[in-house]
Amino acid sequence: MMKSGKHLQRLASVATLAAMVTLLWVIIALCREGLMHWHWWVLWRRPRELKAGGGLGPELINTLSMVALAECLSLPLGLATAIWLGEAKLPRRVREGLDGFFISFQSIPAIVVGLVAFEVLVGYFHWPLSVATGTLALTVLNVPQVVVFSRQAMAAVPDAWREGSLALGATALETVWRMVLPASLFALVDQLGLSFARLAGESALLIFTAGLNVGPHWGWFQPGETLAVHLWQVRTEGLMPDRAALAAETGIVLLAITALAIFGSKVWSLRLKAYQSGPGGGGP
Amino acid sequence: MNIQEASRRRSERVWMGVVAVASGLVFTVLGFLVAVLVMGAIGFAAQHGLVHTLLGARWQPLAGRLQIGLFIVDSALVTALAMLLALPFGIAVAIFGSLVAGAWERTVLRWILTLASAVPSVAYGWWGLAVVVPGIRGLGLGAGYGLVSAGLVLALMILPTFSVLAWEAILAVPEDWHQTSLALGANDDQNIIRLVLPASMAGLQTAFLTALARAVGETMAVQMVLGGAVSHFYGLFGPGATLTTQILTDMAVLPVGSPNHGVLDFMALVLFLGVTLMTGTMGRQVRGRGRP
Repeated sequence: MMKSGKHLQRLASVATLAAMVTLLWVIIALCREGLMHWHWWVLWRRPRELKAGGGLGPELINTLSMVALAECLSLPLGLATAIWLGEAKLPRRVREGLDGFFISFQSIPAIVVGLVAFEVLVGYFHWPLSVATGTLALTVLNVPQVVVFSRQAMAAVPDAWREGSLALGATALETVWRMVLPASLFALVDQLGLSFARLAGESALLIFTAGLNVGPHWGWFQPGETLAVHLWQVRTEGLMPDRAALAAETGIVLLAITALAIFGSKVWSLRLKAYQSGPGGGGP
Repeated sequence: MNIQEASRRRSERVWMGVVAVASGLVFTVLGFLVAVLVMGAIGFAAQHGLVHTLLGARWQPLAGRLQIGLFIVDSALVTALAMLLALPFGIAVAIFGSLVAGAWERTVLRWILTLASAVPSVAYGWWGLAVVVPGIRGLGLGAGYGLVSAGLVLALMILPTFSVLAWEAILAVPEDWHQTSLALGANDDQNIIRLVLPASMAGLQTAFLTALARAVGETMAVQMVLGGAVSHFYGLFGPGATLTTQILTDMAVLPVGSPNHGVLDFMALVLFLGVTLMTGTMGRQVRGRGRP
């Protein structure tokens, strides 16, 4: 009899190792290049177009503020839509169709959203390429994601809990507010970090909505270049002599924001889950 | 019904109204987005002809020659290349993560995949410029900017997403089934080929289509290493332009209001329809939940 056939498992292990090494290569190569020339002053200095020694202070502020604002706009809208989809009296077919609508919108290429935002906000309403335009475009991109992950998080709460709440006399929205949302909060927080990271790394959408420049100070209608756009611009058409180092330094700051958002939300989410489960308690 | 109960009912109605208005706003905005694309695309197609635009390969936007066939071919080639590369590795990661790895390896793998899936596309593009382009040039296969480089970068970029989804698909195979299969005398290879892969096929297809949709829609990482040639097909190692990169390039060339701006809407609609077709064939991810 054949001794345990583990060829496929061994093959999978080797392929996994190769894939992980290559993925880490991307992160490590960027960090290495950036750390070799790292200067703390890039975090607050202003960019320079033609001379070395520029920083990315305004880009950092733009990235954080635009992504935070876009989350503040898209989270309530997306959550409300998810709650409505769950609670409104809809025929089953319609509900599934609407869920499918959001799932296909979740994969919409960012450049398509960027094109329409450019046509409507810049072309029709004559807004400048600015923080406000970019923030709205990010919001439109993010809402379908929020709807889908909120639906999934809320669907993970057992039906029996809902029935219990309703049987105790709570209304549908009271059930959502007092039971479903708290019970799925840890999942929502977990997704929030990923969503923040994804928006912070967005670039295709922002080139023609937020623009490739920064203003003299932060403002709604000031040009709103972000870190990701800056990295692209410096690396592909930058003219400053230290562009290679600057691109990698921008990349490090961007990776740090991404990692912090994901790690922070993960820790927060795990603590919420532990708190909810409690000693001897049960959570989903 | 006492007063307290009546006020509860009223606040329930008010809040349901608020929720409905907010979701109405979301539907309006997203519907409006699709309408803008469709109107622009129809206006363009009526003027230039649908077949002519889709199948031709001449692109001189300022001279009014606006045929996008080459971009569709390049998009398809880059995406196909990326998926061909990502598919075996993604399934290998999923098999390793769910069936082979111990607790410690699983945690490390999860963290790497989560982080890598959130690494910005410009960072992958940066790596493409720093490593892939010089590498391909070093092999004597042209300038390094081209469809193959773009496919390589894109494959790496979608690998984390695909692996995580495929991993979850394999995890969904019930433990009992593994036990049964092993008890019937299957060895580990037979277990994977005869049980795990067929049983998780629906989930694997969903993972594949999600990754495919993301690959088709990716702009920046591809744009940075693709080279941007629009005039004719230079082969797999030669430069090209995809639908996404060309929309980006020509937003400045064909500003809003210029006569041929509609071609950008047309290209965006082709992309959107393509992606919707892919995700539309997926099984239901979120099951509709009615009122209990």
